[in-house]
Amino acid sequence: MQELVLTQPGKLMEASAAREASETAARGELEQLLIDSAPLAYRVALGVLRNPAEAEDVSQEALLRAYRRFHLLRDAHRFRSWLVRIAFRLALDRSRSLRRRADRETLWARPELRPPPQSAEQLAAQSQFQERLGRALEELPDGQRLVMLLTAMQGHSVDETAAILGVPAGTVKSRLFKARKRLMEKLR
Amino acid sequence: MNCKRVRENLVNSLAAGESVPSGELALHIRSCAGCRFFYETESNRLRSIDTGLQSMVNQDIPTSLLPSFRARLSQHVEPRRSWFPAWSIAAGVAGVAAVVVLSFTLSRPRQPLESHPSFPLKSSAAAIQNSNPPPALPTGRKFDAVPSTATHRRIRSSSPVPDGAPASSEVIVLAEEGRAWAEFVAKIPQDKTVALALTRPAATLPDPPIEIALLRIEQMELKPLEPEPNN
Repeated sequence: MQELVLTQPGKLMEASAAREASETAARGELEQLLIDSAPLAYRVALGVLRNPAEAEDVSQEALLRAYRRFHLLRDAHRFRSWLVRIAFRLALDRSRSLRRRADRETLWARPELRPPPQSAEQLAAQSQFQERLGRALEELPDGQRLVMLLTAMQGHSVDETAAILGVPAGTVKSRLFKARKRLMEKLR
Repeated sequence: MNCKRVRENLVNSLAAGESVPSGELALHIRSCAGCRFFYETESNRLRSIDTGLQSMVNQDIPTSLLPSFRARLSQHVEPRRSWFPAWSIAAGVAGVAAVVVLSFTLSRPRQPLESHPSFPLKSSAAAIQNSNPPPALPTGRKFDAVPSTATHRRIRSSSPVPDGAPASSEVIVLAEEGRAWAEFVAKIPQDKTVALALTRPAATLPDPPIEIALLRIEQMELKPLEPEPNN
């Protein structure tokens, strides 16, 4: 049975004001956490999409989704790992939809999709290699691809990558080994 | 170790992140020019992969990223949280539906008492003619067995009525009149005239003829309308 508690109106207002203040503080902390993690989300999206404008849009979407669904996250310490996964999934979805759209449209109908002008042989070779590398990355399994991107990102070590993903360091090492080997074979 | 095996091991050692081959691999590279070339090519390829990946992901963050995100965040409206969890709403809806179905079931119009095929008075009238001894009053337990939620109680009249009555005869009475009805049925055999009067149809008397007289006006005075005085 519910107890009936008589509370003075002043105290009730104080309690609600305190609750509002704590909620505002928590929201502020979450927003700061999102802003701090924004570069990570952007780089993950960029690694998948290889298009800065699309990566920016996807990373913003990922941050907004993390903000909306933060209450579903059980362990707040895994926020970065959770955000990385959200950004990675959204970027994959965007990449697939872009590919479908690109298949529908002709390459020359959209000038932004045209390859950049080749001014020098080295630039051409570099561009071609980047293109091949991007395609080879797309063919990797999602887990290996994400590990490759995170280790390349700002020189993250195996342990740091493992901490971001919330997996053991051994898992990161084995994924990294398989991914490198596969990339070397594909780019041979 | 042959060259094929050495090259496989070299690829594995490069993929594992070992910078310089050691042991037997190192000795073989030193002595085999083909494998040395293979190793240099593969290590260069791996270096380009790493460099390419780093240049791909470590680009500068666009300056518009955070302001745009802040703008989208300010436009985002916090979804209003319900006071009740979803399961309680579902349970409430299910409860209301159950009450509606139950009330509909119970409030369905039942067959009228007179037209009921097992109207007990017919059987009790036949029983009166047999003049069997009166049965005992039904105990309270019998009535307790009837669901109390019903607006009308179905009372088995097989026990109150004499033995000659069919076992399936029953009557629908109001819940609050159940006990009085049972007492009445139990007393019927004691007063045969009452019972027979109840079971006989009422005498049909013909209605007296209706007379309609014409309206007569004896005198009528006609006056002209007077104009209203002006104020």
